[in-house]
Amino acid sequence: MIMELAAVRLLAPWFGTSLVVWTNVIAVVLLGLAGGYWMGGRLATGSAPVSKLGGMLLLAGPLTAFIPAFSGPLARFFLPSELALHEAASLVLWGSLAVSLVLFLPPAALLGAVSPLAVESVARMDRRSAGNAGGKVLASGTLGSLVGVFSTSHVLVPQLGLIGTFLTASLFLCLAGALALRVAKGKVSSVAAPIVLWLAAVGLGVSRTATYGSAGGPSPPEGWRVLQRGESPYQSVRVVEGPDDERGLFRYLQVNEGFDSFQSVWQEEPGLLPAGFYYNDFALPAHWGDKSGSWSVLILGLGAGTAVRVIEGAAPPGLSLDFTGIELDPLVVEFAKADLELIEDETHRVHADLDARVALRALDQEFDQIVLDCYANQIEIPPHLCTLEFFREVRAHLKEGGFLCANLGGFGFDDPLVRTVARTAARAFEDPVLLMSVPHSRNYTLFARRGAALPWEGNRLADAGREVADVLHPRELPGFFQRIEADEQGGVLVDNQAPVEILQKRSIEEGHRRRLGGGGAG
Amino acid sequence: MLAWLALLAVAQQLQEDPLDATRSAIAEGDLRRAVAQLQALPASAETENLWTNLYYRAGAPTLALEHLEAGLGHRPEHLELLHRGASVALWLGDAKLARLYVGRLAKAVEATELAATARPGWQAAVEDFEERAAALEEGLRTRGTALMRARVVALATMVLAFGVLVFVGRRSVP
Repeated sequence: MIMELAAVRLLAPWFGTSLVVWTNVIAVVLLGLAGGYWMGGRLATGSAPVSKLGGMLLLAGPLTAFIPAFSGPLARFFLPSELALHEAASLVLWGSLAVSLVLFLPPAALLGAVSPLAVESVARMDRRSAGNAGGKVLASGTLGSLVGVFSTSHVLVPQLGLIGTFLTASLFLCLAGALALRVAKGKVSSVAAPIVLWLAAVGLGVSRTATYGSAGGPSPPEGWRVLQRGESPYQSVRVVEGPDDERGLFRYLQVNEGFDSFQSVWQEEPGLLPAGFYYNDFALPAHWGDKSGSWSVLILGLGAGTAVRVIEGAAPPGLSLDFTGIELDPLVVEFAKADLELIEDETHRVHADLDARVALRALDQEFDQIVLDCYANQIEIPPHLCTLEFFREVRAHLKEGGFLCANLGGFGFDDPLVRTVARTAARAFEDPVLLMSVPHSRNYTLFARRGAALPWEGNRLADAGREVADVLHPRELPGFFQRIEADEQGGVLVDNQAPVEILQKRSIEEGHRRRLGGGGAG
Repeated sequence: MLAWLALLAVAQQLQEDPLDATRSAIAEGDLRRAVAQLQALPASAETENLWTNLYYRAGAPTLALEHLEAGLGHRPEHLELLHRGASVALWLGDAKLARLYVGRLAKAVEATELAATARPGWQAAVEDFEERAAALEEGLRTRGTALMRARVVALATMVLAFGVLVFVGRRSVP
């Protein structure tokens, strides 16, 4: 289990942690285990099963120690640099499968062989029946997996990092192998061999650490530098800084990013970002709301607080702002406070380590604006954050006239995922919603409003303050926004069935076809 | 006197070419006026060219592509539209489309009567597009090679694993 869980994390900086990657890793481990069971069963019928058991463990141990050292070079071998996110789908599928097979199949097969050999050893030594011995081994193995699951997610990866996790697993395997050999031969000297093997493995593993350290994820472009990098219980996180050129200084927060995407962006001055950043659209409701006094904002998926800096810097004069931010990953918040000016005080409340939906239920408060910017695995909207039931909960947390704005990624207004999520929100709000295309990007911003008309007049968006004039300016052109009616025909996402992964796949396939076909999807 | 000047200004506006008026609106950043004027004009290569440029600058390449294709329907050798077509195709990462527009642009530059000073600029643009299209194709080739490599390694490893299992199965004592 340690290997399986850590394996996905090891691949994450290159291939992400999407369902495809999880499926490949689990499939490879299952394939290895199946082969190992078969092989172990055959070997167990011969003589000295305890020695063979020790041998398998001693082979698997050093192999496990080497896995982190080879992951970076191997991933680079299969994944060309400078790939855009939408270009990477097929390479993620085949690249992660190839790397998983090369890295994880051999140790998984060796570890699979351990179980039948252990059953045979117990049966022969204790003179037990096969069923009795099997039960004993299965119980021990399952308890070991249980310890592995908890220790990997909560202790090993956060405390020791991925290399430390794999080396720890390797240490345990080697110790177990040594013990098995000692039991088999009854000689003290037999311990020397595995210790030598282990020391050699650690030595070589550590010697490769420098290589891995620099390859612990794709390198940023030339002229960029990594300010922070770390492993959280959820993901690989890093902060990168671009060159201080005519655009000014920019920093980006990236999680599990193998491609051209990022989770948060920072510029020196708060306010609107350059064209192409969807965060600018989040500044519109404070103007459209036409409210004086205070404006309360809940941000689900705070990241490093980009939305806060944009809304705050482009707000109508005199409006008093109050932010509540929810972020799942505490390491993101830690990095954001250190390098991206995330503020936490009485008007900027930050709740880390909380899922957005759990937090929404726990908050006994209504807001003027709720921003939904939650993404998992770079491109996937978490299914429980785009269902009819969830949008109803959002609506219930909005004041009369309050706005929901959500960031969606896709390839046109008819994109299967974008359209379905928009239709679901419209159904939940029982009112039309507004879908706006973000210039220079493949993002769409969804606006829904509780109990008040959305800001359009005729076939135009309503005017807003001069602070956000640049955001609305390109939207004067036809084709930049669409209204989705609450009774539009088509499926909606519900808690019981929200096939976001399937819609995401269709989105990429259809988007690719539309673009290459020269069709016009705004 | 003032009344005369006002009348003169109105008369000048009335005489102004509608396309020029639209261009003025665009230059002044008054998109609302520009859109209203363009929508009132009959579709032609020039109106589609203006739409194309508006969408291109606004960051909507697929909408720009729609309009430039419509404009080329009116005038297949329109240099500006062909130039924009190559830009949009490169922006979208569509190597085939980029090649198509670069080829058409090169032919159109050859066939069009241009001022002596203008021709080198267009030829340089064609060369630049050719280089960028070649770089895009190279990137696509690299991606294709990487995909093929990953497929071969994945399938070969699985076949090898199966072979090992069969080998071990046959050799071991039952």
